[in-house]
Amino acid sequence: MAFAPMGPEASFFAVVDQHKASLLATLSRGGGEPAGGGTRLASSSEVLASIESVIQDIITSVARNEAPAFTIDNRSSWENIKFEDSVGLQMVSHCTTRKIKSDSPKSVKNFALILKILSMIYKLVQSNTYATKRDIYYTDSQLFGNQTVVDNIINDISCMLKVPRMSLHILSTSKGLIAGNLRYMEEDGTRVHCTCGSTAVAVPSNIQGIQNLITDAKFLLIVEKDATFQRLLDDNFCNRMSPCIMVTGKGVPDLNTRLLVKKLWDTFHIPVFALVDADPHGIEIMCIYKYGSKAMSFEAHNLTVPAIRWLGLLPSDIKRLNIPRDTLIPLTKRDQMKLDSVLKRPYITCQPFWRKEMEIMADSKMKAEIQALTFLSSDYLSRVYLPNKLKFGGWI
Amino acid sequence: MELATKEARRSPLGSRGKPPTSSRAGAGRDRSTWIRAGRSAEETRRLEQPALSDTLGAQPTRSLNAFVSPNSCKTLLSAPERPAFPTPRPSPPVPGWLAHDSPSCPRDPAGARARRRILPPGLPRPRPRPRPRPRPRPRPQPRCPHAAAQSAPPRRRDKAGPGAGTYLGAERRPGRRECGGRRRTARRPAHPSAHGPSRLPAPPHRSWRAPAVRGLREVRREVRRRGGPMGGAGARGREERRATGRGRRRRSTSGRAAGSGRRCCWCCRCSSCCRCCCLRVMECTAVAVCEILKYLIIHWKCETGTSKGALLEGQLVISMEALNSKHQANTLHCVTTIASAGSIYGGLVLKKFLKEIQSVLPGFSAKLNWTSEEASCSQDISGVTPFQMIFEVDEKPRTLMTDSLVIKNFLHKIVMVHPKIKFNFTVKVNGVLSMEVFGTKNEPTLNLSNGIALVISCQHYVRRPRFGTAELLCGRIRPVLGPPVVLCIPGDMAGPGFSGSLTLTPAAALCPCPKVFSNQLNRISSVSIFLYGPSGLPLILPSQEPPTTTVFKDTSYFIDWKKYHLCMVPNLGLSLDRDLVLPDVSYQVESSEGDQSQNMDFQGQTLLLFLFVDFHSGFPVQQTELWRVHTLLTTHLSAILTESHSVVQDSVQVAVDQALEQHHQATKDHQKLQVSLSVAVNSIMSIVTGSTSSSFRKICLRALQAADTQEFGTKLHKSFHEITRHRLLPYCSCEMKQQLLPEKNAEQSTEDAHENSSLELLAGTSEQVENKRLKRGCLRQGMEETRAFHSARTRSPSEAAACRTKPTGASLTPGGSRGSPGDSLEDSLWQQEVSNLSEWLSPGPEP
Repeated sequence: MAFAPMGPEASFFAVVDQHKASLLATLSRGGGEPAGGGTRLASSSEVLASIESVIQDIITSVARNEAPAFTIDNRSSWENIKFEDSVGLQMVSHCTTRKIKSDSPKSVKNFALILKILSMIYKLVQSNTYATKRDIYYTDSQLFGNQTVVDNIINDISCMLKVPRMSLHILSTSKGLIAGNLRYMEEDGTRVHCTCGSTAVAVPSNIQGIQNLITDAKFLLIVEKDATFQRLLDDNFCNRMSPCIMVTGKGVPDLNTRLLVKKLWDTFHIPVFALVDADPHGIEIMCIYKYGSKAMSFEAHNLTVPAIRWLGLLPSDIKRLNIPRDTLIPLTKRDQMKLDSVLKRPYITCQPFWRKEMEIMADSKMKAEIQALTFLSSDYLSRVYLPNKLKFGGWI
Repeated sequence: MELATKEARRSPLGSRGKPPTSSRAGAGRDRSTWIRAGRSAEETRRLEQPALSDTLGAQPTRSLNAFVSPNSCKTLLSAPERPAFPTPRPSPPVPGWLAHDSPSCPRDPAGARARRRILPPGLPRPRPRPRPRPRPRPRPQPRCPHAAAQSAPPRRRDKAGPGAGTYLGAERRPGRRECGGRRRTARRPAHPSAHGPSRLPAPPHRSWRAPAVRGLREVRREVRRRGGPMGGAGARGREERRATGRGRRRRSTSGRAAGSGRRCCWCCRCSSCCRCCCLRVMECTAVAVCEILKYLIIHWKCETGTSKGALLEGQLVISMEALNSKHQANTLHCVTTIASAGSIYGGLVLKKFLKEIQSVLPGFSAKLNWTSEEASCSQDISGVTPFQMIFEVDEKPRTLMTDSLVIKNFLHKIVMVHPKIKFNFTVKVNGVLSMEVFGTKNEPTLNLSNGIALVISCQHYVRRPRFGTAELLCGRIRPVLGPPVVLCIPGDMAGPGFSGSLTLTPAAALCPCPKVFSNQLNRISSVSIFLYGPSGLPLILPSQEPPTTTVFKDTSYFIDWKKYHLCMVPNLGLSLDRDLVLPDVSYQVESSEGDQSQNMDFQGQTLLLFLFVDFHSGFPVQQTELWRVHTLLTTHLSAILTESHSVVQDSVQVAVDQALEQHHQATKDHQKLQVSLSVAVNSIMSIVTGSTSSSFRKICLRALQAADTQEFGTKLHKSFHEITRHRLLPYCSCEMKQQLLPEKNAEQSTEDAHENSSLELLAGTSEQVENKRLKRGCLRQGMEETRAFHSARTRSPSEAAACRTKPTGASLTPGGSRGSPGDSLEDSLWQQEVSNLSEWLSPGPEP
């Protein structure tokens, strides 16, 4: 590739290539690829018909002098979620539901807001236009109260209608960034080059609209935090480790970042590594990329990348690298609770090495941020730690 | 309507379908038994036949009106065949020196009157003799009371036995002694005095003829006919003057109160006995009754011990019997009797009582009448000492009507904080009897620390609102107590020897409960302030406008209404003739005309503010001390509250803030609901009208039977509103808790109600949790209550009372035990009642 900067020798990525080969081998055996199902992209007419059906039910209830109610799957209950190694967390087929009643003082507002957003979605789909969740919030910010209310209702509607959010013509403003060896064309024809030195590109809002993705990357590195991501850009990590792609969701990833990671994996089947803090929250963020979240389990097939590997920062690295103890941070009570919670998640059972690392963290009662490596050397992360991990296969 | 709560609705059959017997007269004696007391059996049968017919529904009561509220027991007896005569008043045993005087009294067939009570079976029941006409007066009545008094023989108080009525008071005032002396020469008959003691003194009743059943409207008509509002003032005045000058030769010696325009001094009605009543009341009857009751309750409280904080429990009977004055046209001669069990008033010293009562009722004099301990032991197997106080007043009919309403409101106000006290209030005008029972025994209460408990049933404070067909289920208020504050007493008011402190505890509540209106428009329409003094006694009398409430004329003096965007104006138009507790001070929200026109049928909410003033000293409070405090507060409350304006304002504001917080929350909920429904309907309309699917649109329009989208929108909005209105009916944890409790006897239920109320007020959060858990039960219970309410309304009061299965009457036996030694007597009396019943049910002469 003309835009590809010079990276390490080809032998440097030998282990990465081997890993890629093994992933592809697994895929070819059908073990790692989702079996399909879940939410599918629905056509506009299907979405309109679904909404009309919902409205029809409400009017029928009213005509019968019965208080109408929405029945929505319980997304936040672990009872309704099953774990599949190849998919991650996904909803069970016969899950428990909750009713949002129109005759309950507590839920009547929610009932009304669902109808309000349904009517907006109806208009968006009819007119084939898109709006962000933020746009919807600002249509009547006083009524909605805050953005989270809108986000939750949209997820509820998506779950109720069994169509992905994208099919509802609702977008979200992306917060994620991408950099490295990648080119693509957006839905509107805009060509995007992500290989621009120290400048990253925002993850597009319409991931489904991305076309002509081109890359020679040997791997995709997911960076938990924007600060680390910027530091790696500053250290010219993408060029040094070229060809590679770096993505950050700036903490807990939004849907677009997850969709992009999923799309890159589905398109290129390159190894995906995660660089997160050696703390419970870092591990949970990595799990969201890998196995999905509880709230969006109904759309897991479009969002999870089970091939992701934990590259760093491993709790065992702290001892191995003799990172000074004073640079470590004691686990708080909240950290401890989170760690216990993660350890109880269903996917941890099939990740014995992850469990071991978490137990090390629990035993030491210390956590470490990626920035802890800077106490060894300011560019230790980009020059030593990551290259060595990639070269020698230091992921789990 | 207080059907479920008023004990007046109780069946005459009493407990377990059995009528209360005489030994339980104080506790369970219902109206019919009450009326029977003092008659021969035959007479009783004849009198009670219409009453029972009414009770059984065979002959419905014609109307309900006038003196008593419609929510209480009303059976009216009248004597259409001939004018009714004064009813006999139970009297103490006749002392020896008087015994030979009584038969000479032309109006008093003493022997007959003495036996005119319920007697055990087997005892002779003589028929009452016809009432002899009064002797013609030999000479005109002297106008000078002193001259008249001089002709009277000297009083012989020293001969009164221990059980004799004591005759005090008038002689304490110079210039009145003569009047007292003249009473002995009066030609009024002596009162029956040879009665054996009973547990509850029989009410005054001297009708010789069986009165017919009349409606209260007739009572009122009777009152008006006798010179009420419709009567000519000039004629009445002439009649009065004539009566004063000539008609009442022996009884007008005291003249009339200066400037009052009516008689205020009465002579003894019997010829020569000091047991008969004498009275000097410079105020109206209502004031006298209320002040006496206040005194007696204070005495009672002190006797039972205030430190325990126990609620007073017992029964009092207030009876007013008015007859056309023989000597004065358009005037009623009213005999008022206050009676109760002697056990309540043990230790009451008459001299002390008269001395202290005269501090508020100058010139007051009355006859006290009770049976001594010795007499009780010998004659009354129950051992209960009856207590009785009688005084007489000449009143204009209209004044009497006002008086009875004032007393009624006063009694109602007392039972709101003394739920275990029961008052039987009887008014009999020329034989037309009406009776009302005041009691809140089994109603939920909020226990206050000073031995009083505030009844929290909504029905006493506002009329039960209805919204369409839906009856409100929550019938309770949720009072919020403000912090108690110490009141400063201005130095010149306390007087020497005043030691102790006054504390004020405010309690505020919204009525009806804010939850009731969660799906209705919320607005506060009025404020009612109730003032209670120590021992839970009203500080001012209804319809009185004393300086006590001056401080409340400024509506914003204690409460910052601007904070709630409310503008209050004093409400001066409260009628005495209402079923609700009459507030001492009332404000109403000044609203715009537009608001009024929109909400003409909407009652709104009332903010209830109770101000409890209590007295504390380092030592057990003495009766005299409490009486002084009451007198002080009655006259100087405004000044005392003004002196402590800042602290009172803070405390009241805290209570009101908390009470209105619920209101604000309810208002918010209502607004949220309205906004939500509007959003939902508009969203549906947006989809239906914007849909390009004709089939979808048709289905929607057909479902609501709408011709076009406009009609569809209207119907959709209406349907949504209707559905949510019925579904969002609130529930009340208090009622629900009570309902879910296993059936217990009445006392236990009351205790539970007390406990629940207290707990509820202490822990609002736990209540909410409980609400969730018990919601279903409550709703079901609420519906059952509503049904019961409706069915009770369709029945006559007596029928409704007959449906009750459990006794609620308080026992007047000393230990409160129901299994008294008089049970066998009760049983025999019950058998007698049953035998009478068959006669009552047989067709009798038309009334």
